[in-house]
Amino acid sequence: MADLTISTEHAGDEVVVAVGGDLDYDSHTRLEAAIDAALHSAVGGSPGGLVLDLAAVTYCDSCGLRVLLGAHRRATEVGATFALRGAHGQPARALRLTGLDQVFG
Amino acid sequence: MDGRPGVPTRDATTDTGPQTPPRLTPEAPPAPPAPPSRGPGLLDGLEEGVVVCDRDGVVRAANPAARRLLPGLRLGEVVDVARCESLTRAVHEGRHGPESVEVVIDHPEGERHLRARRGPVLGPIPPPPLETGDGDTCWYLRDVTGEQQRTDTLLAAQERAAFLAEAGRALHGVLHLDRTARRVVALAVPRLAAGATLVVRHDDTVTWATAELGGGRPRLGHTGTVDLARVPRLAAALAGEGVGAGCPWLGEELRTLTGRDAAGAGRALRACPVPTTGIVEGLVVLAGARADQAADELGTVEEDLLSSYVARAGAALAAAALHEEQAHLGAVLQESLAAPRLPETPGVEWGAAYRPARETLRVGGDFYEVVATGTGQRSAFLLGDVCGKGIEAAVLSGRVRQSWHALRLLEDQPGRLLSLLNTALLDAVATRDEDPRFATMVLGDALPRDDGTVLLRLATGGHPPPLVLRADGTVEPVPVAGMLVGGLREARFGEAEVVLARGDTCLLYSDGVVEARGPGDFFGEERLAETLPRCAGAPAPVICEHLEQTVVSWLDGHDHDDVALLAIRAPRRDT
Repeated sequence: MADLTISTEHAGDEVVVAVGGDLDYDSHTRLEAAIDAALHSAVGGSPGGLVLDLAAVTYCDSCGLRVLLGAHRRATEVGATFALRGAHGQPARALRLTGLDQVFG
Repeated sequence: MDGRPGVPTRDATTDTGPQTPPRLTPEAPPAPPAPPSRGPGLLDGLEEGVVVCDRDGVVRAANPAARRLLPGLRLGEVVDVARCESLTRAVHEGRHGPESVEVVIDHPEGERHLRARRGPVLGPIPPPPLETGDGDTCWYLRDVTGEQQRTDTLLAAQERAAFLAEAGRALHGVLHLDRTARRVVALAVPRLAAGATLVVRHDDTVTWATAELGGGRPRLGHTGTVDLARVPRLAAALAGEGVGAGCPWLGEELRTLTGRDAAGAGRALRACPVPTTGIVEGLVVLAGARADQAADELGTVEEDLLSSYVARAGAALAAAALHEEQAHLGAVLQESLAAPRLPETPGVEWGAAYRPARETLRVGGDFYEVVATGTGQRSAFLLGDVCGKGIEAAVLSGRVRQSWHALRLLEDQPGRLLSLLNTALLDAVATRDEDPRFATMVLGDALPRDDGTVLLRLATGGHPPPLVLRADGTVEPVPVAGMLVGGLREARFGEAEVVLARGDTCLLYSDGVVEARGPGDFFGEERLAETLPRCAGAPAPVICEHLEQTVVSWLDGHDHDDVALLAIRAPRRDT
């Protein structure tokens, strides 16, 4: 079990939230909060885009997927683009199985 | 420092001037010295009382402070007249007696505590120029009443704090209504009362517990709330309508309710409502120490102690009741989520395994259902997983399964059934301000055919594709995919048809199987595919059992998510 790590970086108009470790029932609310903060803390309003970097995520369960889906919805609501990148291994499989890879593009 | 004009005669030391030094002798002067005409003597300014006695106990000198403390003290008379026995004894024992004494005296201004210590005998230091006689003792008296009171108050506070701490310990985390009730009454005796009866109403049950001095283990009983009709005043008191002081009916109604004499019956009873948060209603009835005690002077129980006690009792009872409610809710949920019994269907064999994650409620997010619709008909099945754990997951999986049971009556095409389910789940949360809670699942039906094969129709929504284990040990995933169910309006769901020949098995499994994490890695799809061929030819229940055991050994004691397996098999021979 790897603890969830989250780091947020602002790159131009975009916010990149890099996630690592296990994104599961026990940790998902932390990512939820971090994404909320990322979408609402940008100076001069919401960012133009939200990128979730999942390269270091070792495990993602359905609670984690729910956070990703929620992040997609919130980003769209504030008019920001949404992108996932870097998922591999089990998280990539979970995204593929649930069809979320198609939703997030 | 002096004054006290009313103090009786013969108080020679007062303001004795240097010119007229009193000469106190054991024989005692027949008359007091002349009244003072000059400034106060050296000892007169002391707050500490000083008494000088000779070897016979005759008071040779006493300063004003001493005479204030011991109004009976008379110069020239034996110290006994001060009516202070301990001091008298100490004086008579002289230098062989104790160094100090503590005494309680009956003072005209109320009970006083004195501390007396034997000190150095005064030398001939004027004023007063008192010559020391051999065998004189000199006693220094100090009024320690205030100190004593402070100590008493402190001790009492410590004792109260200890009682409340014990109450806290005894009641903390019991989380069982009967045990909590027993402890509540046990705590009250004897600290608060000679007897205590607790009456608690929770839902439609009335629980009573009673403890009595020397009565052994508290007794406990239950009765229905309907019985409260027989004890209307007690019922009103329970409902928080208040009880006046001195309630002669209390004992009688308690007897009616509990079928036994109230604890401390025959003594004064006092009802104390137990403050709770509405989950339960409670009343403690305390019995006074003596029969002749009035209810409103019940013992010497301090009101603040009593209210702290009932507050703790109330919190513990409410917590216990709440916990029991939750445990009951969990049990009911578990029952409704318990793995269903598999039907017997000619031509199709079913097997399943279910192992919920180790969660407090033992309510998992995985589920499966199988419904037989009649001989030669399609049997519908469903296996899925909802996101989350515990109550939330249980509610959602309940919603999914109920919706499936209803919708499959209207739509038997698996892909369209999934679309309906998707819409139903989204609609269910649309009116609430919450993110969609989705599920993943495989559903479909199985039709046994005359040639012994079984035709499966399947659709998946975001779930691992089923695996087909052929009779010869070959493993093939069913090529079908779909998006999660209840997450997106525009979701699409794939459909597939599979024919199971005699001896073939189709295995539906939840993520908990492939995501079981042992000491090293996930169990994974590959290991699952490697394990399956060993089960070729085995009956469906045996396959599920074997896989479950394999996953459990892989976990090697590590925590796991729910594990659900459903196997559908075409029997080798006609059944």
